[in-house]
Amino acid sequence: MERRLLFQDELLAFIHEPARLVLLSHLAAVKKTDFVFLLNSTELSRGNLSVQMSRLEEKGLVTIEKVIKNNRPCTLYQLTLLGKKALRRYKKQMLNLLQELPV
Amino acid sequence: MFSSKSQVERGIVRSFWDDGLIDILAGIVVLLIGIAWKFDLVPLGAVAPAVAIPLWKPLRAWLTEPRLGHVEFSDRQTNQFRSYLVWSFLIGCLTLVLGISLYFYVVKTESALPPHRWVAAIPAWAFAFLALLTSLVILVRRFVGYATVFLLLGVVVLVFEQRPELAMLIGGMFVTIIGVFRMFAFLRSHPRQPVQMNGA
Repeated sequence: MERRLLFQDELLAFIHEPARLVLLSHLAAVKKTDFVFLLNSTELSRGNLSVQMSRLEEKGLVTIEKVIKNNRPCTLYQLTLLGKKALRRYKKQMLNLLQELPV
Repeated sequence: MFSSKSQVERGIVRSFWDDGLIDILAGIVVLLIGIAWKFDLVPLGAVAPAVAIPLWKPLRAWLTEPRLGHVEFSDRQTNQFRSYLVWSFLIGCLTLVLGISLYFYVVKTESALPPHRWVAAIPAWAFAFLALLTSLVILVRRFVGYATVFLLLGVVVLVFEQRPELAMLIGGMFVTIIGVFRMFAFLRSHPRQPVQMNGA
């Protein structure tokens, strides 16, 4: 309920969750990365990371690609155009919000 | 080449390069060049980088990626790394040309050192510059330390009128040893991850 007051946009409210925000930030900084790298970079648990990536894919913010790298199965993640635009809008809205803080 | 990066991007670039592998390969290359110069086989020193550079990718795939994971950088970042490689190649070539010139001068004049002793310090200072350039690109601060070591070794060569390879032998060993320690620390802190299934 509180997020809807902050963000009129449901997608931005969805991004506002800390774990998802950290994951999207990391994906925005690279072209593609895999599960293991995100696990090391974000220090989220395996279960939480898996769940969050699935949710991000459901919203169309991330694509998931399963490949074989060096004879090992690998799950690669990439931020979609929608994901990049949503993250930009989120950043802009948060900066506006912070500038209006009365402290 | 050194465009500003966000903190997240800086952290990713640093963790990508901080496994110790580049230290070990760079240290061995410098050491081999020093050995080649020691035995008056200066042109052979050019073989070391040509052999070491292609080793990086398969060694990384074998040692690092199963533990750290895989990442593909953006085109902008990849171009930055490429520019760095080009500059390193140019500096390396210049140092090699200098080394070969020095070698032929010593052989031709049968003197122990060139007339201006500071010339003997140039290879060490070239490696110092390369190390500094590396630290700016891969954001691993350890390479600033390496740059300082090579700078000081160049001064030692200059002050004590030593041959250029002394700096490369000592500096190369130092970088290799630190790289090995770093690699061990990386392997301890990053256990091999199980095969991924369904992204989990």
